[in-house]
Amino acid sequence: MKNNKELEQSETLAVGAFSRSTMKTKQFNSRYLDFFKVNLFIMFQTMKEYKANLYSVFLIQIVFISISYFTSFIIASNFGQVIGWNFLDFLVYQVLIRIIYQFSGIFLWGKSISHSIINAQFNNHLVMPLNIKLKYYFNNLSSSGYIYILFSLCELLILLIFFYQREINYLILLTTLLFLIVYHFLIHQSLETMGFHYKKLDHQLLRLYYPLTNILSSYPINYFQFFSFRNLLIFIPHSILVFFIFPSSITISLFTFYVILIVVSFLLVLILIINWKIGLKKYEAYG
Amino acid sequence: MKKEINYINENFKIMLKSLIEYKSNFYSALAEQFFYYIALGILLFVLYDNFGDIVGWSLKEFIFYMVLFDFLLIFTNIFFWGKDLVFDIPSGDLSQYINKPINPLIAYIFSRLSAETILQVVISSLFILGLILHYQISFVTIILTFLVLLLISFVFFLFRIAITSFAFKAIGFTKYLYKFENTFFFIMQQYPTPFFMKTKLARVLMFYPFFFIGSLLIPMVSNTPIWNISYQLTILFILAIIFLFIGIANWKQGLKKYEAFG
Repeated sequence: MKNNKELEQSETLAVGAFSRSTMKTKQFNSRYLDFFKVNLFIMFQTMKEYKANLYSVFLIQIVFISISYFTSFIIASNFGQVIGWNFLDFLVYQVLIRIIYQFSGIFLWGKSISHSIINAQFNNHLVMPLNIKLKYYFNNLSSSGYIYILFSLCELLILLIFFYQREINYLILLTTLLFLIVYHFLIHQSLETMGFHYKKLDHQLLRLYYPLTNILSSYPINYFQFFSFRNLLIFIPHSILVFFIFPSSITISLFTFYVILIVVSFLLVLILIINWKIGLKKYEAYG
Repeated sequence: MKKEINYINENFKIMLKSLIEYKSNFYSALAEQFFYYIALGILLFVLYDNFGDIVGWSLKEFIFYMVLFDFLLIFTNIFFWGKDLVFDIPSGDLSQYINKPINPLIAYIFSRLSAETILQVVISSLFILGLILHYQISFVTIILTFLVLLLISFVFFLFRIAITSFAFKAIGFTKYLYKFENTFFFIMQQYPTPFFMKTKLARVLMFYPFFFIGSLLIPMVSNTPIWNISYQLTILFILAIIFLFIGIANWKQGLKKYEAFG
């Protein structure tokens, strides 16, 4: 009898502990969700509040798109035949690249770890109870990025539905886009978090990455057929996009390409985690 | 005028001292320039390999285009890097330059000269010198090219003064101008001048000083015929006058109604 009671008691305790832990997990998740919601709300409010900023983003985007169409026209009409691309190929390529930048830009624009360490703004993120990394990324979401992406998505839909004639597998397109958004985010962040180790090291590394991406935005990887280090460039998001969506040729086998891509992504995640861990351990605000 | 010259002299001394003092900045500038040259090298390759025959430029011309382009930007960056009227007006930082007897425009432009950039200018100059020796360019060509480069740099310097001075009128509008400027810079860097020479847009792009690197400087370096040289030089002088006028007028009006918010 006594044993049964003890058993019942221990069962009740176990169930209690379990429900407490699930409750904790739920609370934990809901905290992150709340934090994200609040930041999204702030982003939308900023958009409503600063109307001039909102209109200026629209205007800038219209100007930028016109210029991008013009340069695409110049390159397609004069040099498109070199790689077998037409004007619309260049346009769709440019829009997809923009979407990758802008989507990750919602979380990245206006933030710099090096700067926030030097001026001590990084301290704002070192507050309990949420994870510092997530807080850093979910904080100060860029409203401009959000508007830009709406613009680009409309542009892409119009181009694909009404003008683009090449066959595109939409599932592959969507999967590639989602992967590349995360991939670009990982590259940017694994380079930027180098700022934890050495002040401004991130600036130097990003000064190599962004000019390279700019070149690949104007001249897709197909133009690099005789470049000795071509294989190094194929792991930049722009080149991966070309391989999956546009007519192109790969100098290595598809299997090797996939394997290396997975390895590179894994390494980027690893670098990012290690940098944050070491960085937070030895963090000192300069102010 | 003597006071102004002394002021500029002092600021140059401060810049050189800070270059020696902050060693990490020194190495950082070196590394940045190194990485940037790698990217430029790749751009150079793709341009020459794919479009060399089509635009009629040799490797030498592409190399000079890239290096002179970079030089023009970093040379003017000495005076503009790390300061921006768009931020200095609302924050009240501009107030520190409105002191007698130095002219506020001169005080602002020649203060806080960028030490990191001067190092990049030195590296870039050494690079140009190496190219001159390698390609055995004649002394007369060097002098003429240098003079024209100086003129283009001066026009670009005035162009930047004119653009930033719009911050006195409307900060949002100035940000648009920056965006335009950045886009034109990007276009001119990625698509050298000969890409546009056959289009009607060539004349529109002439308002942007970087255009003249490809249309004026490169043919000079490579001893090839220059397209309408007197017309191009006239345009450069007209641009210099227009930008100077806009810059001075905006500063004069702006300082009259300037109020620091802080």
